[in-house]
Amino acid sequence: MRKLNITDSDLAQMKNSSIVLHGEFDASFFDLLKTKDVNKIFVVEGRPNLDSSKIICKELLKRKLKPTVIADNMVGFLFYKELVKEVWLAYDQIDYRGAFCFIGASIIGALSKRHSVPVFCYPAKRKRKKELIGKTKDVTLFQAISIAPKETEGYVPLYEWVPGKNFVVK
Amino acid sequence: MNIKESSLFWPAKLKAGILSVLDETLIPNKFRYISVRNTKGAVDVIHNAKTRIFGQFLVVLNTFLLELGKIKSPKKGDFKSQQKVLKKVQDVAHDLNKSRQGFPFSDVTLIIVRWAIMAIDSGLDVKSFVKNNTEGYLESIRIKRLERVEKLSEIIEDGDSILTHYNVSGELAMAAYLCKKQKKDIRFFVAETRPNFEGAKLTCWELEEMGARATLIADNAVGSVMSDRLVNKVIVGSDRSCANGDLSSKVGTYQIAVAARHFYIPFYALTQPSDLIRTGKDIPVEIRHSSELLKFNNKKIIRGEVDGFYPGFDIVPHDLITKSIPISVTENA
Repeated sequence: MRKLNITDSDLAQMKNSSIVLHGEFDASFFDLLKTKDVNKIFVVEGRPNLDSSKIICKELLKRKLKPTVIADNMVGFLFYKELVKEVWLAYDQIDYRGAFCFIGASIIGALSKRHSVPVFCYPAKRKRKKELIGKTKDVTLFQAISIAPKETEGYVPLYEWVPGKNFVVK
Repeated sequence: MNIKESSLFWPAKLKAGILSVLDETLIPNKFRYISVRNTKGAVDVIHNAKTRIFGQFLVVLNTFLLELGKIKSPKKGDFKSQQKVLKKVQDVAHDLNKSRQGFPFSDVTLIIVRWAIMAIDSGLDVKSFVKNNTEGYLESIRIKRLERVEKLSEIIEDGDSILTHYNVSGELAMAAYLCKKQKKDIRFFVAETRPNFEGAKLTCWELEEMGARATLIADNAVGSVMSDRLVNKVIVGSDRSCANGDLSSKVGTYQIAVAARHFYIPFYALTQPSDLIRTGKDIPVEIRHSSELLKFNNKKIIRGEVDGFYPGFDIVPHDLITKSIPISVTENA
């Protein structure tokens, strides 16, 4: 375990200057992103299959934008340290009541509400797969390697509905 | 108390001059203890994170007992030899203080050094005084933790479905065992806890060992299980506590606490009360090397020149905690 020499004052300099991306965005989103003035682009990993971060990172690198990957459980830290100026969620469906997004969006919604950070929604890359729930092995494996005891039961929601009167649709 | 003990509850044990430390990095695939015979071995075990924070704490305390066990007790009145024992205690403390970057084992080693100085000042045998006090301190921690297991089992009610994160070093699994004995029907949802999967590897394993029903979820599913009312309580551990009730815990805990507040789910935290730190904002950040996040099994998880960001722990403000379940152990000799 190696600790880096990053201090609170280093993070303070990054206050309110980063964006967080979550989900599998349509390619047109990344051309929009190129016009934005941001310090860092945080990309949420997107368990179980990491497809969202793979898609986002590929598109960002194509446009010479540097992604910074975080695990799904690290978003809260960014909010707590006030690093986030806005959040973008990829959605499958949206209406006046809220958005049907990739799993993890409700946590981001709750954090955004607590920290008064605006949430923007953009269409996802493709229509969602039929399954709303994944298989146990999707969560008991990581990169095809077992991470849990053999008979462990898994629950793998892949999408969730996020009520969001305050979401901004782009 | 007649209770089945989880191996993670007391992962370091000293017997016959050998400190056996459970290698938690191998669970659930292998169950193996590392034999530590000296301070260097103890420092290596801590530095390589073979056991987590509570295990490291036990290693620190037991290393003094290990080294004192090798010293012949000085004759009564032999002040020079007593000073040598004090010097040995100080040297062990110095080495252990450097074993883990960013964590104040010096708070713990200072207690032992103080005992040694107290013995010298009082004309007592340093070795016996430090040994008896350290053993007594360890025993009182053990008793208090067992008491907290009972308290935890009282908080858990029949029909509860509990979300947990990371690993609570035995106590939650043992509380689950007590609940099972009391015929309470309970289940657990365990957040896997990236990047090292302690939730998946350790917590699922020990809950299942104790006969509890555990369901593994990805870290990003905690909001979903709360909003769908699949869980009705959250119970987590903590690394450090502050005077105002804030705590630090494994990264991921803050967003669980925020989501719990958002979805009106009670949030319980096992804490170690301390006045040494005023508030959560006084705890320095710990940012770890991104390779721990971006690589798995020595392979990159995402192609291309991407950066990573890996904060080691979260701060949970006290206003998000429904109830703390503290443990308080006095160091008074």
